[in-house]
Amino acid sequence: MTHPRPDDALAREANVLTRYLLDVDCPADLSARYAEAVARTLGAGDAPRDARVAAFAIARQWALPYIAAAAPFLSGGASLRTKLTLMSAILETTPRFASEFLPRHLTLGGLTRVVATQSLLAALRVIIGVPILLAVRR
Amino acid sequence: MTFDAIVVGSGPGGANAASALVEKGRRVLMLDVGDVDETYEPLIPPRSFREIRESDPAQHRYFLGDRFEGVPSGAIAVGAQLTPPRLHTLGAAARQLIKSDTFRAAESHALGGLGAAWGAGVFPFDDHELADWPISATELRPHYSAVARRIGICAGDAELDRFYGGAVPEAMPPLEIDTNAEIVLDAYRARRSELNAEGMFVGRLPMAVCTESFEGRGPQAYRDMDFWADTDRSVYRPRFTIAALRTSSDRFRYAGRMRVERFAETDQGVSVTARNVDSNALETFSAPALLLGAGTLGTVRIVLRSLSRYDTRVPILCNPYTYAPVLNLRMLGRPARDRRHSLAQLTAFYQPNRHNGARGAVQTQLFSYRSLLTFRLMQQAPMGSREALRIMRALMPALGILGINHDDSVTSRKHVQLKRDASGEYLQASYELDADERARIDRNEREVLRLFRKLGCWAIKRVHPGYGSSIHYAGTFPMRASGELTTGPDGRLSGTRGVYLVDGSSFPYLPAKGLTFTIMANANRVASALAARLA
Repeated sequence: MTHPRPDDALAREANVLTRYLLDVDCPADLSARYAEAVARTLGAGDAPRDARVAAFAIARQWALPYIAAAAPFLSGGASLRTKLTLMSAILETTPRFASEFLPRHLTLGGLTRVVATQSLLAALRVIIGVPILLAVRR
Repeated sequence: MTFDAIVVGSGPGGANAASALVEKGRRVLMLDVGDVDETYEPLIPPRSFREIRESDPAQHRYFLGDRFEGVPSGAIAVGAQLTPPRLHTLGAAARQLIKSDTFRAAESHALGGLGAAWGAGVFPFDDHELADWPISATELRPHYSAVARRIGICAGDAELDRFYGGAVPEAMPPLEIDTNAEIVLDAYRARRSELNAEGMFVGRLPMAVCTESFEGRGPQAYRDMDFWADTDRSVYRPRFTIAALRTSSDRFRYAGRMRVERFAETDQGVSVTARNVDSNALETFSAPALLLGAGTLGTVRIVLRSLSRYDTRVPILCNPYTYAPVLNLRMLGRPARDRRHSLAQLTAFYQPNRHNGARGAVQTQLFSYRSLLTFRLMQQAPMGSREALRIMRALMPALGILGINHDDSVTSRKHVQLKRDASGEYLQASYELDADERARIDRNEREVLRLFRKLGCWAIKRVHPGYGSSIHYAGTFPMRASGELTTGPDGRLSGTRGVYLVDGSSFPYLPAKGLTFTIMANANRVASALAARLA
């Protein structure tokens, strides 16, 4: 199945989201798949405030991790969360990125380090992200 | 060809009723819509979940869907657990015909009905659970055996035999369980006496899965792809019975794309009107007997329309259902085998009324979260996606899901009716639990989760997906000795001469167990007796 070529904005968006998730650039074929997913899933039904928050976060990559962290707790982040879900799903169902999403066997020590580090990061990003999200969604 | 009986629906009830009739020499016409997935299942290779993930460039099509229908958004919907290859089981067209603010109903027009996506649990009802039926457990037992021989089942643990009124017959060796379940079962065995005293029993359930080669199916290949495809055909699907009937018997005719609208009794028997869903043309069929296996909601629509009983309330039953993601602490830091099946690994029964012998056991199934996709977990996590990914892939070997089912009884707050107004005809469903029922369910769920903590499984949260979401519907024309809009002991709809119900419609009570195996056994019973009378 072929997908239509994305416009530049959506290709950039796919790249920003992929870099946020996996620290790599988004391949062109996956950008196209992302563009189709956005068209089918969000279409014209995106609430203006949510769209504004998503656009702000994607245009300013420094803010994306913080707004993404705060989004589960405040209204206004639904569009961004949907886009991240779509990008995650597309990356996950691609062989070259499968290992990033498959379960990992870690020792108890390694598991503890990962969970503790990521939980701490998540908490810090929520604390910083909440005021940013509140300001952007106004 | 003239027919002795018309069977409506190809689900578990219809398939087994048709099979029983044909086996006893009767000529059967099956009318069925028969939706199939012709898009995704053909794409799925006979390889393991991990192998597919690491190598198949087309996996996104069947894992996500060409329209991304496998990426859920919004509130949890009925059938949210269905994957794109299984979504045809709950077609969008069927969903539009039911209205309710309190009941999340869904029907199936699939070939095989809801059996196209069932979990394959084999749950014979015991004497307690059949107490409301006008037939005895002894009468039903040979039909459980007949169905077991027909569909192929594998054994469970003797630990759970007490919940079935005896061992399940004619079973193949039990399924292997995965690493996660082995650890839980070991923990249970170490504390068995203590847990049994508290009313908890845990073991492997008998399943409608072939662990040996069986009539061209199986054995289970442990590819962990059971939610997506039937490449080894080890899990029973009613469409296998339909296919066997079509190839092996000239007494069986399958008429697909036909949605039955109504019946009318005549001097010669029953006349059935059906609409071709593709051409929209109406056709009429006749036979001495009609067996309705269209699923509880499909059957209620056909019956109430045929009897012109609009705005008449009939009861409806549905197992209240909760699921709880759990973390198995004893799995942390341990490797998990990839060789596994995707179905329920273990089943637990909790008996809150063990001291007074009353029924109402709670049934819980443990699934390991493996062959579902990580993005779904990330979506639910209260944190940013980047952190969620890294935490979830580390914890996933220890993640499980408990599916907790409760029993259900008829009350005045649970009903469905057929309505007709300017917008057309539709079912209106209403389902509410009273305060006592809600309190009992909450109390029992807390107790189940407490007991699972003793096995090392700690619940992260409880999710109530809404009444109706178990998709275990029953009880609209409950089996009674007599009464209007009921079913007699022989399965015949009251007030009719030749209309029989062979799905969950006739069940007067729903235990917390899955009802599908009992639907099949009852269908076999009704059809076998009818076949003798038609001779």
